[in-house]
Amino acid sequence: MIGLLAGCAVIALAVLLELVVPGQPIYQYGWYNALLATAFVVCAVRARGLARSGAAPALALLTVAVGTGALTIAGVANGLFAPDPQVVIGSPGASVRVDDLRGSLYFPLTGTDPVVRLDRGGSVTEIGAGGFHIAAAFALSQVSRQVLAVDVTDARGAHLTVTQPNGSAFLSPVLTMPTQQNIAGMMLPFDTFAVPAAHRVVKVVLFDRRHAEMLKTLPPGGSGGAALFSVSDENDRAIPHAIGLAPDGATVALGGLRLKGVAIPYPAVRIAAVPVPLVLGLGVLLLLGGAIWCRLRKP
Amino acid sequence: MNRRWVWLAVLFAAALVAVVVAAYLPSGSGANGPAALVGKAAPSFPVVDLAGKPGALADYRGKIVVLNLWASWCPPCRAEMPDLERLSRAYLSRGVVVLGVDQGEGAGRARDFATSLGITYPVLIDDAQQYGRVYAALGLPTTIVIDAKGVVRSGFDGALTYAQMRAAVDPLVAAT
Repeated sequence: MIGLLAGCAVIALAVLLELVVPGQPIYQYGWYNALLATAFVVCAVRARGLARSGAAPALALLTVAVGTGALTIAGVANGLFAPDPQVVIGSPGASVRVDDLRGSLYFPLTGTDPVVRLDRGGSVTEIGAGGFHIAAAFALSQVSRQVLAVDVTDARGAHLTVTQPNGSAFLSPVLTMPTQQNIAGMMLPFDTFAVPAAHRVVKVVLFDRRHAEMLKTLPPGGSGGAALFSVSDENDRAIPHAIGLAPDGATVALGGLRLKGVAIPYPAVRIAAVPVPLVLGLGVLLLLGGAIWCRLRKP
Repeated sequence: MNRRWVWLAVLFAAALVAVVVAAYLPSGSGANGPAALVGKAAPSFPVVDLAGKPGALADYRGKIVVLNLWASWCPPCRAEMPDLERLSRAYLSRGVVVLGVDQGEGAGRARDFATSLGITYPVLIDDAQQYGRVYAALGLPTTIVIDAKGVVRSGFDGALTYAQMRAAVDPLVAAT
């Protein structure tokens, strides 16, 4: 009896771990899920044997087995059917639809409380820094990243519209730097934007303070980081002398544009699948209830 | 053990499998762009008008607002603006305000452009492109129709015809 309950408890702990430490690659490994399923089968066979020998009430043992089965189903389904963990990056003030969550994430404006809100059919969950929140079968946590707010003017100082045809928000002057570019062995955040009024496309690589200090060509000024701007025409043809480095917050004139970038920390949301909480809770209740029943009522 | 209990347990397990698999299926539904904001309160940001005076969408609460996001470099915006001007003149007395919001440009450029097209409806200058971001613009022009209570009633990506503008506004006018 003790062996059966210990085995069931191990399965329960393994599945609960998927809730407490979500999104670990091991949960998706085939051998891990095969091990969970095998452990359950061993427990179920043992419960059947105990029931036949009369060591405990048969119904109590069935309850233990069903509870453990529910936990196993929750754990294996999380490993085999749940989507991979993802980081959702949104522009300040923008909303991003997340089909897995059946809702939208609303990203805060810069300079405000950095809380991302998840709206699922009117039910709002606030995702702040630290810890994580459970929504449906997913754990949501905030991660901080560097984004770049760009300001573009023409030679006379008149503001120009910044668009991001491939960005998370078309009309945002904040670059979320979602991809990485390898430059001299350094993987650096990369993004691109357009300036339709000037028929220009600009590529940007962001250097943090540590990487910027490696650049001997960095002009003085700024607060540590730097942005490398490369301006081309709207057909992506290179323009002579249109690549330049600007310290954070400083303006650089390239390809007929005056460009300024300010790096700011900004939240993104990491979404990782967890075992379905309803099934998990049901499994734990049945397992605990069955175990207590086994101990209290001998046949 | 009663066989019925065993079968019940098997059925229960099958139901659990269905529940967990369904939990991970994406919905795949839900509108994108400005139409996704229908039914939500219309956000407002303080900006300036063509004369440099403070202005915001919130100043027009109590009126039906046709919020049009545009920029001078955008050919479809230019094509649409005469119809917006026509709508403004025809519906002003019925509590409808057309409100243009220039995205990301300076007041001088926006003023020259609006003057060249004979625009008389109010225009705001949003050089930080806050309205464009929050109203989920997928491109320019973007038009959002907001009722007198400040709730988004419809959102459109791309240029509208006069008939489409009327079709969006008429039900709200009739309801007031």
